[in-house]
Amino acid sequence: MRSQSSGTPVTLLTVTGQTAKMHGKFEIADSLHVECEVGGELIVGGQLVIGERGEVNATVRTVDAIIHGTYEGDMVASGTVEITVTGRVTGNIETDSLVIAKGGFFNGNVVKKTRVGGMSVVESVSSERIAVAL
Amino acid sequence: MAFEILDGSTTKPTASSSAQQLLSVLGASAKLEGKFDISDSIQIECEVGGEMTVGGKLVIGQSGVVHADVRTVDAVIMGRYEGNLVASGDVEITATGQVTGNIETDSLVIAKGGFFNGNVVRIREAAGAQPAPLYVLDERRLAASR
Repeated sequence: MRSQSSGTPVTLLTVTGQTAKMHGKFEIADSLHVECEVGGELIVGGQLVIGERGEVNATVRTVDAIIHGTYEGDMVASGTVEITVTGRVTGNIETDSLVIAKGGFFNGNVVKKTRVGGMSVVESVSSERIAVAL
Repeated sequence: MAFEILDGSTTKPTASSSAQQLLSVLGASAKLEGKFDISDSIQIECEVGGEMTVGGKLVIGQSGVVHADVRTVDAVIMGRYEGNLVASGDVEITATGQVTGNIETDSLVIAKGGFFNGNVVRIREAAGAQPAPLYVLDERRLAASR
C-alpha cells in the first residue's frame, strides 16, 4: 500500500477540526502545512508553509519556508524564506534568500548562510554587469 | 489575538460541517514526537509518538505507526498502535490493525485478522451500566444482514 515513488506526494498526516495544539520534535522528509499551534523543533526536508491561522513557536531547520501566519523562533533555511503580507515573524533567520512582502512584519536578525562565498559571488556578478554596461 | 480576520467568515465553531484542515504533512516519511491536542480528528500514515488528546476520531492508517498514550472519542486502527488508549466512543481494529497495550472503552470491535494483545477495560464498569457488547466485526455484519 505504501507508494515509495517520490513523484506523487503521499499524505502522511492530516489534522482536521477547529483547533489543534501540538508540541514536540517533528522530522518531516518533505513538506508541512500548518494552520494551528505548533511548538518545539521542526526539521523539514522540503517546504514549510505556515498558513494565515498558523502559529509556530519552534526552532526550524528547513529548505524553503513561506510564512503567512505567525512565527517565533530561530530558523535555518537552505533555500528561500518568504514572509507574506499577513506574515509576522519574530526571531532569527539564517538563509541566503529572504523575501518580505509589503505589510509583512519581521523583527530579528538575518544571517547569510554562505557569508564569504556568497558575498564574493555577488560582487563578481555586479562588477561583470558594470563591465558589460561600459 | 494574533488571528487574522478572514473576510466575512468569522470562525464560529459549527458542528463539524466545515472541517478545516489544520495541519498536513506530505512526503515519503515523517516522524513526530510530542504532545498533541486536537479538537476534532487526525489521520496518521507515519510515525507518531508521545501523548495525544483527540476530541473526535483518531484514524491510524495502514502505514501508520503510533506509540502514544491516547485519549479520544473514536478510534479506527488499520496500522500499528502501541500504548494506552482511552476511548469514550468506539474502537475498531481492522483486519490490518495491530494493537499492543491497554484499551479502555465501552465498545471494541476487532475484525477477523486484526491483532490485539493487551487488556480491555470498560469505562463504566464501576457505574454499573448495562454491559456493552463486544463484537467480532463479522458477527456484527451477519447480525445486521439478518
